[in-house]
Amino acid sequence: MPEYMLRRIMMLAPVLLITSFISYALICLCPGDPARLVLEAQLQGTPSQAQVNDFRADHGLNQPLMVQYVTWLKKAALGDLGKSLKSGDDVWDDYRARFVVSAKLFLAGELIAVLIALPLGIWSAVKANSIIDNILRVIALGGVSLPGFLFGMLLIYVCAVRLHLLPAIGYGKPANIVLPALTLGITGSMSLMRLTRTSLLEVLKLNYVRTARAKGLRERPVITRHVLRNALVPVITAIGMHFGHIVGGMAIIETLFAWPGLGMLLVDAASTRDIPVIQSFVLLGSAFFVGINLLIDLIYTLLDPRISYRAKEG
Amino acid sequence: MPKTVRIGAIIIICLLVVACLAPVLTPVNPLAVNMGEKLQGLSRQHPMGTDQLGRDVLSRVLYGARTSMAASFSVVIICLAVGIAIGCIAGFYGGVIDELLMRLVDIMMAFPPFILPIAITGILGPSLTNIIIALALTSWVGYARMVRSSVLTLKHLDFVAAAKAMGSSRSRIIREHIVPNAVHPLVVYAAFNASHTILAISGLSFIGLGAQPPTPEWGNMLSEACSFMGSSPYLFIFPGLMIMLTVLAFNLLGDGLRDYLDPRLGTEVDL
Repeated sequence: MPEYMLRRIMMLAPVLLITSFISYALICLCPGDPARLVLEAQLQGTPSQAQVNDFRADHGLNQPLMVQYVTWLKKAALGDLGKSLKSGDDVWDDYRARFVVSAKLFLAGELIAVLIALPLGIWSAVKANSIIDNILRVIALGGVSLPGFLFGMLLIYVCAVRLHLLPAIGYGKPANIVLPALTLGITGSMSLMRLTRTSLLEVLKLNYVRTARAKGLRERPVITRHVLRNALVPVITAIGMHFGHIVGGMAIIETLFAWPGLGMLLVDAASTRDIPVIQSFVLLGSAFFVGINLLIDLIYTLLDPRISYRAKEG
Repeated sequence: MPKTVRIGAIIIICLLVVACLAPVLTPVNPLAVNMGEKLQGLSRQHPMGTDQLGRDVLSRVLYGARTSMAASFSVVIICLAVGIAIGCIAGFYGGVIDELLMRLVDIMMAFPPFILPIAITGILGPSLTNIIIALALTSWVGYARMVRSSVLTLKHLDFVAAAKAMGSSRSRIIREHIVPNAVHPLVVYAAFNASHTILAISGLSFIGLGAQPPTPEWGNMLSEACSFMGSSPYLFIFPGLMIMLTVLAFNLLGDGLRDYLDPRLGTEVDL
């Protein structure tokens, strides 16, 4: 296991290097001259050739791509990700501040999702093919087909527009988090509930469960002590994978609720072609995501000692 | 064949028919602005009402099927083509080519979901075409991985060895023996990918990065409906229902096909 982990950690450096290059090279996708496009947006008109040349010189855009990339990466390694073209804010400071904002929403939403998904998923599996199971399955199937932003709109309509119970959009007051967190939690719980159910059903079929029942254990300890330990491993992995959503995965919901997190930062940058923000966002996002995935792998091996990566790799 | 597959397939066929026959089904132009009739509720003349510019919601919803279906099918078809090609090359040739292609796949998977499509459309500029490009650029990876693993299992089977012994060329073996046998898991994956793509396209259009107004697109219509939620809730109910129905249909199809094509063993094999 340590050998495998060592290999995984050693793979981090090349992966991050290439993702950083892709993050920077996104600028090549720009239709036309990026300097001209940015200036056109900033000045609301056609920039003069002199202005374009100055902008290129200022941002090093007249150098070859590799040189630009290396300069950018060196600065990024020192924590200087440049400034937003739109607001002039330091990208790194902005990113950190908004990370906290997104993380709050994510944790609240995920907590709701887990609180709904685990009990209902377990109940559904234990009572497989009963009426309650069928009802829950239909709800879950409908739920995974319901886009989060649509559910969010429905919540806004019912809770804010009709009943005036909660503020629809905004950030700052504690009540603001309720609707977006409910949206994320309820829509997110549906796939988690399905996963819990299938995972539990698969474990319930195994021979050791039959043994546990045969030796006279009552159903409750069979489930809590024997089945859940194994059945929840994939569920915990899925929850871990969800942490990647902090860095932009909730973009649509954040935009709907005007929740000023990372997703909204990315959407704002994307709709104004704020290239430095987009590049840094992709760089930091992938670094975070790769880190999270490594962490999940680590936890996975701790949770399930049967996993032998050497066999899998060979 | 399970009931879910049939229901899903019927809904998808209906949606395709609606998409193709939209001009026949509704004589009203979805782009025709009529300020005199704006924000009218449901009536015989406008069964789903009219929006803030007096456009007929029914005809916009029907034409929206066209946009969504065309866009998601484009993404799925591009990904299938690229994924099959890359997966076959990697799996069949192995060695350095395989290693390189699979590292590329790993790199693509190092980006968190949603970020890359949003970033790419941000730089290309928001439009439906660019969303299709961005989603295709990021979704082929799963297909390639899946095809590669099928090829790796298939290429050691006897019928492939027999074809080789009979002197079939590599490309012929891939075309006639490998691809047809790798189709099953691919169809299931494609169904789920189609549902994800529809969600992504409508979601990105909703936040203004996809189809631009006045194109009739469901996500787009929802975002316009946000401002009139209090007075005209029907504006978001109908396009919303359509998105849900479409995504549900593809999920039913995927779920059903998965159970049908890959029945799991009933119990663990006896010791």
